[in-house]
Amino acid sequence: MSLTEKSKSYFDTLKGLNSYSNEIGVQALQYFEEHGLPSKRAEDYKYNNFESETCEVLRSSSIDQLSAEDRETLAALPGEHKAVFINGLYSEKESILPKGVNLKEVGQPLLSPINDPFEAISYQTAQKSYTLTFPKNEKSALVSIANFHLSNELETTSSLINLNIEKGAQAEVLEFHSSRGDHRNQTFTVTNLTLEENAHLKFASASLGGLSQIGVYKVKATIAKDANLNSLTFSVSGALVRNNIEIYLKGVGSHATANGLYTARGEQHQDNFSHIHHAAPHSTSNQIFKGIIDDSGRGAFTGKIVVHRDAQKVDSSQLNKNLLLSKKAQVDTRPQIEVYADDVKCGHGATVGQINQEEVFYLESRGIPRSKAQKILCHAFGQEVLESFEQKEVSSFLSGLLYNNFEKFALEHLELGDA
Amino acid sequence: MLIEVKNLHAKLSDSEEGDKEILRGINLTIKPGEVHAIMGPNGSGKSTLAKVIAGHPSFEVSSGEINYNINGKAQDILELDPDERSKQGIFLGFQYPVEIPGVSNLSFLRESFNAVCKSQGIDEMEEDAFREYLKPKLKLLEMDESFLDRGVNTGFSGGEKKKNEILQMAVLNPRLSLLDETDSGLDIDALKVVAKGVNSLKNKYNATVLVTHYQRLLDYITPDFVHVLYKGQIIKSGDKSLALELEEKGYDWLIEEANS
Repeated sequence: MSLTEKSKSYFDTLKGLNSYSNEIGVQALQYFEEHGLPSKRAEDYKYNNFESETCEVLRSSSIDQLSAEDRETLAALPGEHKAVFINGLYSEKESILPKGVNLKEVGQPLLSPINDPFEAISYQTAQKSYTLTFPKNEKSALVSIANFHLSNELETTSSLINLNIEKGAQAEVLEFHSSRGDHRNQTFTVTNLTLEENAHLKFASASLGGLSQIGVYKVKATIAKDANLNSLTFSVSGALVRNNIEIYLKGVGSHATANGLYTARGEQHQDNFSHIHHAAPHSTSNQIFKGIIDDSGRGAFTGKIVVHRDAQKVDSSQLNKNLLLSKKAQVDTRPQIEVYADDVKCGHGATVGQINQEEVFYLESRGIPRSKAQKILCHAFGQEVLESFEQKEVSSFLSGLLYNNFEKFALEHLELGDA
Repeated sequence: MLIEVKNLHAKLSDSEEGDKEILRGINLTIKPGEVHAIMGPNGSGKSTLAKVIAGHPSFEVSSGEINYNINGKAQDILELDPDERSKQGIFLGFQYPVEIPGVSNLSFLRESFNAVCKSQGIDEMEEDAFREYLKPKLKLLEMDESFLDRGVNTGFSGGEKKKNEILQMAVLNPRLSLLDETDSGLDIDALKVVAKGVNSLKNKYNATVLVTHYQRLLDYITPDFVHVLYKGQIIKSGDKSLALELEEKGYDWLIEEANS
């Protein structure tokens, strides 16, 4: 395939950068050269045109300091332990890690081949790769990763973080992507999760981008025997956001919960792409993704579940529910299941609806004004997903962000008229 | 006078031209301290009457008035939004209470209580004080405190939902309670608890309207007046003995009487 001018220019920039590993660098470049930036013709990216939306040139940011506002963001994150990254570089002086948890600047072999153009970009543009290791058989306190993406107009930021949860370890992590300003910029990140045998990880990925930001956040997990991932994707801002979630259930008895919540208003687009591979027998997964779309916002959810051959007794469920708050709001939902084993249980479903007027009346009849009742119900719709996250400090922190999001931007379009 | 319904006609809001009215000239006056029972066969308009008084948006009043005593003066409340009617002390106990997962019962009750307090110029209550305020009310309805931390009506049994309605009534302390089929779906034990709750909230300043299909509820909450609704009109009013007569003879004799 021949690359567009923009993709060619991106490729030239990528070629000039050093990867932490030659082997990965070669793969990343090769992948990008073959695919380029995805246009709407790319099946996996059909709902948005990233080819035209991305910045004209790939230019990295030169900011390396936190502002007062960033420090407030940092202070508000839950828990005592913070791992602070500024444009992909770890800041030791800003961070406090729990005892036993260690961070090393090392690369890591790929968990699976690069399969996405933005993943390829991230591997080349991230300045360094880090691995946070949670020691085996130990229960570690919550770590909030403050991932600051600070850039000027038309600049790109990236990060590459690996979390290794050793055998029998129990870890809780919030990865919080924070950007500032309303200028046009872009962020591409990769977070790799490796859960060894019987490891337990509660992992939330939250992004709070500026109004003109393009963000592509990839979370890739491999889960070994009897290990358990409870994950949450929280995506409520940015101009065009893509969440790529890729999970490989590789061990017998492994489990993944991969829930998510996205909201879009104004002209925002929120695109979620989840790919869960059941590669081992008796592996289980469940997934609820919810979207709240207002104004002319657009949401998309693609949920692929692949049950590999010989992965018998797999149990998998998937649900995507959307709330549309205005007549112009739009959502595309696409559940896809590929099953190559014969003794499995897979269920999926999708709904698109409006606020239930009977619920609004119930609250009104208890003295709560209509506008407030509608806000409460929108928040409640999202709250169900947040409550499914098993780290309560994190879920109540995110619940607060969600509520403020509604408070700040009055839901003016809720009068659905004849609805 | 607490409320006076005058020649009230109502139909579904999205009804077509020529569709039948559900309420066809209701007249009803209720004084403080009274208990009224509204009975009648299915589809007679009982629930609609309760919903129209509470301001349900599915219904449109085509003519008539609902005058309600606000600060000693009769005011037509048809222009008031449902939340404003609630703030003026009108309470609708739902036949099918709505489940709202994601909103805890406690925050819902508190939101509601504080909204009403605010409109009456009373100080709002902090969470801890509010929990204390709720304790005797929960006890009255034989509800465990854990109900407060569950989603509103989420996963509640039929009986628990109805108790939760009466709990809300106890919290809001309304002047006019419209209890729509509060007895439906209740076993006898739950019915007794609900009736005990309603009875204990009764005083000389408030009034209760029981919308019910069966006389069973009236064994536990004694009405001062019984009205029979049929095809959107009150075809007979009487005292408690009317309910007993209906229990014995059904509605047919009344309907025949009304038709003749």
